[in-house]
Amino acid sequence: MSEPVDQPATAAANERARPEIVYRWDLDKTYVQTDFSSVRGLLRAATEKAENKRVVPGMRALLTGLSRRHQARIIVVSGSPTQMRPKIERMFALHGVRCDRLVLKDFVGRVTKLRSVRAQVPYKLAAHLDTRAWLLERNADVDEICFGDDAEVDALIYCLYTDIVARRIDATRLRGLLSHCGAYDDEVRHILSSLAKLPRQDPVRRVFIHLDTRSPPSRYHTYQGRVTATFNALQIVLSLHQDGLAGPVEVTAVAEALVRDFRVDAHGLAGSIEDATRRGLCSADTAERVVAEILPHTDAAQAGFDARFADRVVRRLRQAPPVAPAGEPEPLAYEELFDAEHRFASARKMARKAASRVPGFRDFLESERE
Amino acid sequence: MAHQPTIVIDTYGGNSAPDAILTAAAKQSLSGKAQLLLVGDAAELQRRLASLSYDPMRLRIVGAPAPYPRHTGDALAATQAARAALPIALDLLTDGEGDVLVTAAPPAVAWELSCDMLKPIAAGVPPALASVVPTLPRSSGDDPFALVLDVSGTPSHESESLVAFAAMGAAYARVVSGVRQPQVSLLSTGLGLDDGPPAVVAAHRVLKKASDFQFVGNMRAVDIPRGYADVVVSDGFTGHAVRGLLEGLTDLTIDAARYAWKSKVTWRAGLRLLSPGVGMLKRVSEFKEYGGSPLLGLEKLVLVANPDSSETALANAIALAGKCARRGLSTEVAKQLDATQELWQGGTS
Repeated sequence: MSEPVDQPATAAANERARPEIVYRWDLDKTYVQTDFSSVRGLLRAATEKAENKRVVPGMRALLTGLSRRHQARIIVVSGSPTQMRPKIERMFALHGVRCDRLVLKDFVGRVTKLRSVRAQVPYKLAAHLDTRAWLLERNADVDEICFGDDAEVDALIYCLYTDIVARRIDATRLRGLLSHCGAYDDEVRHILSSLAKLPRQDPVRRVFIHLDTRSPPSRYHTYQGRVTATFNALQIVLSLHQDGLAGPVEVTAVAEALVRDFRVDAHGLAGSIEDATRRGLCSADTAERVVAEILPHTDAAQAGFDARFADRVVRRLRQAPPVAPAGEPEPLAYEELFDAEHRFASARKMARKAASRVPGFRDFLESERE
Repeated sequence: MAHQPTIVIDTYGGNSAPDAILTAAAKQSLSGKAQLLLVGDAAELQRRLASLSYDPMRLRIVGAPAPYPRHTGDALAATQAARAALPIALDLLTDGEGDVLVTAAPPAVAWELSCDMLKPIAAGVPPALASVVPTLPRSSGDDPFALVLDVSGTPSHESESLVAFAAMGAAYARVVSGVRQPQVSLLSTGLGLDDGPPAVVAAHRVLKKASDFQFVGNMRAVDIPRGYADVVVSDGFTGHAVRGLLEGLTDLTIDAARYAWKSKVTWRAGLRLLSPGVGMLKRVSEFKEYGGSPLLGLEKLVLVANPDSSETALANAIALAGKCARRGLSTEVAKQLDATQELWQGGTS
């Protein structure tokens, strides 16, 4: 079988000692804006230059900030083909992002296994386990924060990775699960042998899913609070700030990037913060501090986020109803989740087609008026 | 996304509140054309919002203390909720946070509170509730709707008010329908200069001199759907009655089609063949699908949607509110009212 093609992206990667945290990223739709729904989009993704790659608003500032923090490592696992490596590495270099490990998918090696070309679960799970082993060669136990998006099954993959490393799922169940997700026998064998080399740990502290395709946040309620659904980079950095993993510098950088590069105004910033608070991504206290003490002193002030505006937002945050604490997570029914994710993807495709359809006359006539 | 209009949305209004308006607002937030401020029970809205696609950068919630009425169609509960929430929504307009308000509250309550809390756009000019009605194609443009104002039910107006309504209607037709020289008419009993009550006769004499819009004289109610004018001016009581009659006729047509559908197989087959045309007819004639009736003449625009409005109609109302704000309807109305003042200075002979 073709294993994930994994190699250090920078020479300095191995020299970094004892990182406290690892940021595990997906690439397409999480960091880079890509359109895989059309042939044109695919061609564009394959041919455009590194300097022309469009980044998800605010993510460049976020990832750059995280990669600059001491004792942090960045691992990127992407479904993009290995041929894209020079472009992706150049893009990260241009963005000032230090990528310690970049794993890409070897499509040529999978040409005889068509199911493997499309299937994400076996490929990414193997890549996550291999990079975990690579990390453990350098450190005993490292916490991880994972970043993905709602276009594919990133949430499921990250949760499954967490559960198998923590040995909450045994080998027999994992074998059945991988078969259900379309894995070939050699892929299953590879995953099980990689897992056997890892000690039992519970490293994943949070899984962020960027709602790139604007899925409703409730789509991730079935993950029992293990997944943090976010609409934009500001919500992610607020949550990291709450957890002590991002400071005012990172919050400022993301907010300023949104204002400067993506023309987000004060209402846009405030709306994101209020939404994050209402959904429990950060506490009202953290949000208040960011609103009152950080944003009015940044470029956001030029977009209308001045002290007066901040006062108004703080008043609203204080009126917001308290968020109920999340209950203890229960074991996930992965087979059902996998089927549900596929049903959701099909329904979304059909909804897009139906959106242009004129409401039917028959529906109108057969509906009873009250 | 800088300099987008801010639309305040009352989520208590309408017989299917807050679901229909919330779904419409969530959908509109994805269009990225305006900032939306939802006034409502924050915890309840957030709970329902979680199952919708929306963009938090364009959709914010302003908490209101009132709970949502439990039973749809409970007029008393709807009125109480409107009286609790609308002042908060209107405050957002007077504070300068919002540019336009969209509400599906009972129209009488929306009218009363808006007129109480918002200043008139010009001294001495009463506000007017306008309504769009479908017409045959008009020479002035593609908009299939003409504007009738005032339809508020206010018993009578002086000639000065009728002239002001003509100016406001012309401004609306110019800004929203894109008609450069709108055709304006007075609703009366006959076409002659002296037909109709004294206020209409006096207003006719003044409007004849208008140059910013084309005054086409009097019009009878029967001529409204024929598309003889872009704007039809009447006093509030008459306008209300005319709109009610047109809504009743539309309901009758729809009921007749439903009856035919259920009565005979051959009629059903005929309707099936006609379905694209009948569907189109329904979309232009169904008042519940239009969106909102603009309340003109106040410092900020209020769009009053039918309480029975569907999600589509409410989405249309929000889109219309954005269009009005982006194109500066309030400024255009004030400008047109100023110009009309000069007509009075020229005398009424």
